[in-house]
Amino acid sequence: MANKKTLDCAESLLQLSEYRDKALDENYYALVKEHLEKCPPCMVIYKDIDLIVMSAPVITNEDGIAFPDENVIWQRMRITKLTIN
Amino acid sequence: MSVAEVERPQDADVVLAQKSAAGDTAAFEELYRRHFRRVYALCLRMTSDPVQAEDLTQDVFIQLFNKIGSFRGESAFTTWLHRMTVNQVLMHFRKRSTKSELTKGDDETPEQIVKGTENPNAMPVIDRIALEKAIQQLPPGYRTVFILHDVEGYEHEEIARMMGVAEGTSKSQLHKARLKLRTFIRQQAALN
Repeated sequence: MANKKTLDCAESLLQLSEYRDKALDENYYALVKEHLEKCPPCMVIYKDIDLIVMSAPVITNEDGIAFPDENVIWQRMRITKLTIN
Repeated sequence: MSVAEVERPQDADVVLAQKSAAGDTAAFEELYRRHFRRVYALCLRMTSDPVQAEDLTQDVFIQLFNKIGSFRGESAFTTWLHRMTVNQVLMHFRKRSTKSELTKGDDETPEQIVKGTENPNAMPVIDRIALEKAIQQLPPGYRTVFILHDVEGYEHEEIARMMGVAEGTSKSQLHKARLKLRTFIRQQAALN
């Protein structure tokens, strides 16, 4: 990898997540960056990945979750695990 | 010290855990009620299946009841319970399938992008419903790694250890998960 001068789209695509997570070594990071700067289609994919990662925490929001009845589950545990009570 | 006397919720958890370990079932019930929603929501995120999430929530609290005496307060109770929940769901995945669903799909190669066929428009803002819908379509292994890394904040090293896979597998599955999510979200947006 150290001798590589440029990356093609396929090589760049494979590295986009680690590039986004800043998990690549410095040289390889620079190669991906260089490719993205001159390749708009790959840049679109990179931006999409970035948006997905940035949006991911939204699913921890508990609004809208139909929670089951906690009393029912509690009762069920008491039935199946008599040691609890 | 009673629960009413402590000011911070995490301190109340420690008191309740100690009382539970000493056999106080009322204290355990209070712990259950304090954390039920969080545990269920995590199980639901990891399975995308309300029925499985409900069963797993029950399993987690039974496990908690049996292990409460081993809580030493070295980490926050919520962190400890979170880890226990993740492990319970992963164990469920492992039991459920002979071919590990945790690595299912790993031999797939990422989709190749043909120049000129990409929609150059920016992806729309991703709301929770769109993301949840896309996550539901992921193979279980991809979904697990995506949830653990991008939602719950685990590092690849930890994920690999918990899932019993190589760190490289975790990284590879995360990347493929993100690419698949991108495809699903764009497909959904195109239909709307």
